[in-house]
Amino acid sequence: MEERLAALLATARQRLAAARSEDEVRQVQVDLLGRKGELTAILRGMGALAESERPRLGKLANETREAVEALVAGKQAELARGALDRRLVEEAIDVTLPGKPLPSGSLHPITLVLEELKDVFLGMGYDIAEGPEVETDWYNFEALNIPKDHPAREMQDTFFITDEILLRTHTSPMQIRYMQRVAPEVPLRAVFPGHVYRRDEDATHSPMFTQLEILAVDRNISMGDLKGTLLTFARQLFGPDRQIRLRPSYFPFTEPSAEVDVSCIFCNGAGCRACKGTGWLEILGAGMVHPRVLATGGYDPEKYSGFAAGLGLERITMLKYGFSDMRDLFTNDLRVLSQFKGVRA
Amino acid sequence: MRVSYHWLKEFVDFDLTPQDLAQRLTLRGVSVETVEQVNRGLEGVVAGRVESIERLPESDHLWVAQVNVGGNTGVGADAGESGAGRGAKSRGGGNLKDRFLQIVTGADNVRAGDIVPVAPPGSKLPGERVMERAEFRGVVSEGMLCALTEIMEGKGHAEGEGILILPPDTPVGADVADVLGLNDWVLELELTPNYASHCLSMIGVAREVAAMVGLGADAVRIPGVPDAIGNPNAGKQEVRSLAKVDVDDLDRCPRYAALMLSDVKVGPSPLWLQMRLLVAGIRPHSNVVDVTNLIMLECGQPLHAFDYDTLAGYRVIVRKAREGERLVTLDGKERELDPEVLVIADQEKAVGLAGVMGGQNTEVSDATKTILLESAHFTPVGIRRTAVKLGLFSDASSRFSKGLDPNGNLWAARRAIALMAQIGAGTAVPGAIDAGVAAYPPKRARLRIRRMNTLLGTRISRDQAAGYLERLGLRVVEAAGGATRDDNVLEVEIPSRRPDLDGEIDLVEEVAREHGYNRIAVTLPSGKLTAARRSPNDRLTRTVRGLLAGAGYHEALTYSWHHPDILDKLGFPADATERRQIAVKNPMTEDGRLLRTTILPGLLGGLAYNAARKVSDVRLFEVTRVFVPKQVPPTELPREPMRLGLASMGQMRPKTWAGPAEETDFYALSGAVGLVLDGLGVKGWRLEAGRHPSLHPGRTARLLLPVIGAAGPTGTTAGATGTGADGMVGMVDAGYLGELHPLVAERYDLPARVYVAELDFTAILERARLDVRFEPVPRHPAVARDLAFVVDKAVTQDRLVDSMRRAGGELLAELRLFDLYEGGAVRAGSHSLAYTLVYRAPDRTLTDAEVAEAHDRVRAALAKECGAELRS
Repeated sequence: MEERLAALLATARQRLAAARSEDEVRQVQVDLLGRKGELTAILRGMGALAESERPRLGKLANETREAVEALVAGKQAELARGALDRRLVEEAIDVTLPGKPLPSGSLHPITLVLEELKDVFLGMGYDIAEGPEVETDWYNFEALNIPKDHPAREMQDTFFITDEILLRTHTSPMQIRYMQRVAPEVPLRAVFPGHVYRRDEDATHSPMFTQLEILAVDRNISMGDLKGTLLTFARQLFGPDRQIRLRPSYFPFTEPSAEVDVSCIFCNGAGCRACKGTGWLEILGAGMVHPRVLATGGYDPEKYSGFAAGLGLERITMLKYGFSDMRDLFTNDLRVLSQFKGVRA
Repeated sequence: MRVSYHWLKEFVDFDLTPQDLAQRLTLRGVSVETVEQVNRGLEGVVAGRVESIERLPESDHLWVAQVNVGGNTGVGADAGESGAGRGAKSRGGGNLKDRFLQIVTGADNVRAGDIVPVAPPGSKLPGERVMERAEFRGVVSEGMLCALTEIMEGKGHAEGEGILILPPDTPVGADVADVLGLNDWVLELELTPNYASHCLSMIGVAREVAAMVGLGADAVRIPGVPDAIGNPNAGKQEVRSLAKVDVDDLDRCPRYAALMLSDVKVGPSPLWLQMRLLVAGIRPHSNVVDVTNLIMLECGQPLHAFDYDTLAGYRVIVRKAREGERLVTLDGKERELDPEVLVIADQEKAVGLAGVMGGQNTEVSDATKTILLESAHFTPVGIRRTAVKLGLFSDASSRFSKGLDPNGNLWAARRAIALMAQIGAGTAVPGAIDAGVAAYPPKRARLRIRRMNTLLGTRISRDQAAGYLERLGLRVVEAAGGATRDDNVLEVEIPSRRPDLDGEIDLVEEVAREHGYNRIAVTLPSGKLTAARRSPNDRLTRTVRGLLAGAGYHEALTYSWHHPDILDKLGFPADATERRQIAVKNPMTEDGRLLRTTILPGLLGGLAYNAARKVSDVRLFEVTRVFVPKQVPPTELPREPMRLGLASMGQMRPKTWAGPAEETDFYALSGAVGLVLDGLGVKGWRLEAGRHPSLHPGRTARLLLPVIGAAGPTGTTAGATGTGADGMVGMVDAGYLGELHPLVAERYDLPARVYVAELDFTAILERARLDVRFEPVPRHPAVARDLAFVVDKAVTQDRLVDSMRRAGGELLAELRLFDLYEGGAVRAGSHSLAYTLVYRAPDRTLTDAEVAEAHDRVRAALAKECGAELRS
């Protein structure tokens, strides 16, 4: 009997090793361990054994069954792995086929620049506020120290609605509106983005464009603070190596006033076509808030001072992204817009 | 203002290249736009003496001249090497060998013996023009005789312009560029209005340079005027006996000087004077007029010469024009005047627009014998108003309207008369009329040093500041009342030539300018720290932009205005509220006439722009303002509500290997609207069928939003009625979406299927969820049941969903339409719908019986309320 059990195990080994399919394995299992299988037949011979032999041989028979079962399971696992391996090979795809397209749009380059600027000034503690685009002559001009018949009105050719209502020519009216809102609270730090309008159109001017006004009022605000603030802004926007340069200029609502240049972002100041060989690019106008403007806004100019600056976003956008004609920013040509896919504010 | 580098050197000493000068002036606010060489390419053109000139045989307009160009001009074999330098060396050409050229010319102002500019073969004219030998009717021409325009600009002769005749003492063979002073540079100034008073003149610029190089304003060389000329205090006062000046309006014309020149011989100016003007960009006219222009350039004061004999009564009256009075100005235009216009008149008639332009009736002509020269001070406002009113902007009006030195008029007149006499234009008449108010006293201002340093962020001492101001020609004086010197205060006297300076802050700026803006140390505001945050609306707007860009929409930027025809194009009826619009009085073109009340024009314009360029798959969005007036024309500012617009055409997704193309349609648009609203957490919004004049009547929806904070009709939203058009209680209109009406699409040359939405963005933002409250994840399993039925197409989704939700009650957690078809076995006018309904209870696992009961309620409700025919 012992020999028969050993032979059964050997048969199992041999047949399973030769098996090529699940079915063959199952057949081995049925033939050897099934109800009508060989093991059953062997066990039937147990009755002929001596009483004392039965436990030992019973145990041996069980061990043989378990051994066969283990062999079967092993073979089944082996076959399954093989099948999986074959399937994985068969399922290989060309991973270089184009992916299924998901929609992707874009933000307007002006928005991209504005959002970046907002972040820069938020980081410096500036609030953001907006105001009306249709504005009164008073807020747009008179409150900013530009009375009627002032020659500075010629600096900004104005679209008029009525004698007293116009399209704002700059975001500076927000200086007055905001000061009137918060005065005499200090420190006042705010930026005012928005559309402005001037009668001017060519490759570098659009009759509608976007400005960002910057205003700070406090005790002891100095022109040095203006320089530091603008330098910080220029470096955040254009890179840490940028320098700025202030040139005396004239705006009736600031004094001293300045045009502000940034060292050329293309040639780094060496002189190139973009900067007309000067090494500098003009990017904004700025100055110390004129005492009369402070007073109109509700701040005593003897106690408080402030600085203001205004920059044209279209110009910055053109510099930053390399546009040469401002009108390209207003056509909504998809071939322009889609170049900004994936650029996030 | 065009400043000649060499002329400037006549007024002040400095040792700077034109480029350095330009840069340093710019850095002190006298902005130099360009530096250009006056000589724009003239090379090898020399002075030649015309030895003979005669008609070219068989020509009625050509002449042939024999011209001596001196021996050392390198013409002929080595023509290519002839250059300005070598020409220059041939000055004093008497001892040089003569050399003759035969030249054909068309001009008939040349006589034998004239000295003229000759461009021999190989010489160059501006514009890269290289002269070559030519032949006219078989006659060889070795170059060309030049007119001034050719020398200056390279262009052909100006109308009626002859060959330039050089002064008779010009050496033969001399380089014409030297003779004419072309080896000079011009600095083109781009001045801010405040600098007009002191930098629109050579002397003014010289004062800036003097301050800049540290010499001080007194170092400027002011041309002298002989004491006898135009002296109002001299013994002989013939001018006063010959003419009379009355100023009726001292506010607008505080000062008026009149000087006279007799024995006038009007003719061309000497060449040097013509060249000065040309370099400055002014075309020479006649000696008298040229001198007035030159002196204006020199000191800034506009002058005007009248033909004395045309002044009725020999009187000059400065008065307001009479209503309807007419005057033909020097530009040949007749102008109708009114009392707002100040005129110069004689006893009978207006003879000039004060400070703007003279009249033709008293213009100086070749026949003029005697001149009355006006040099007046007009105050800015009146001149500006006159110029604007008449649309007449002259050099004079531009200067006066920015403010000039009120005390500068008499000197300018004297200087002009002296120069006219000097160049032989006439004889100065002794004396002067100096009418109007007395000379203006200097203004005074105080500068507090500490205040100045606080504002600038500097540590400039009192003496340093005083030095800066004094080198600009301001005077630091002792404090009034003999007070002791205060180290913190400067008392400053401002000369009348600086009307731009008035108060302390102006002095602060002047000190800063002299000190140099670049020397101000960089600091940051040192006050309280402030924490800034984006406003909720700013954050939400950014969210919306991100959502739409992520969904394939491109952000557009459109103009706030449109053409008056646009609302017709969009199909708006005559009485539409959108037609109440703000009109711009002075648009650049009609495209900018009306401020938009709808954002459709801009977005459709964007689509049309792309469609015209064969870019056919476009989705645009924009968040921007429209302008809603309270009255037309407005007497107060309009409302500027924010709108969100979407526009879409063509394919959402192109055909690829992985699937067919997906065309945009209404549901793609409403999906995008849903993305925005759900993305902002807006609750309770719904769409219902609507009408819009620009949209397909069967494919238009209006967006309804719940009234804020109330279920009743008293919403808090501006303009909310609390009731939709057909009685939707508690909802407000918040815009439209739909397919563009085919007629509108056609008018825009757009394809058939275009989808647009215009939503009230302010109303949407007001309903956005700003905070999220976490809700526990459901713990009990859900049971899904599908449901299919056929229903009349007139029954909207909204009604079906309402029905199912009401019937399903709290247990109906989700509901999704997964199939919709019509045709086939489904009878016409109906369609078959299939939904998945998900049932769930938050607190327990539902039994089959509970689910069945709820599901049956839904089925019953559909059948009863909606007439649905259940199929499962």
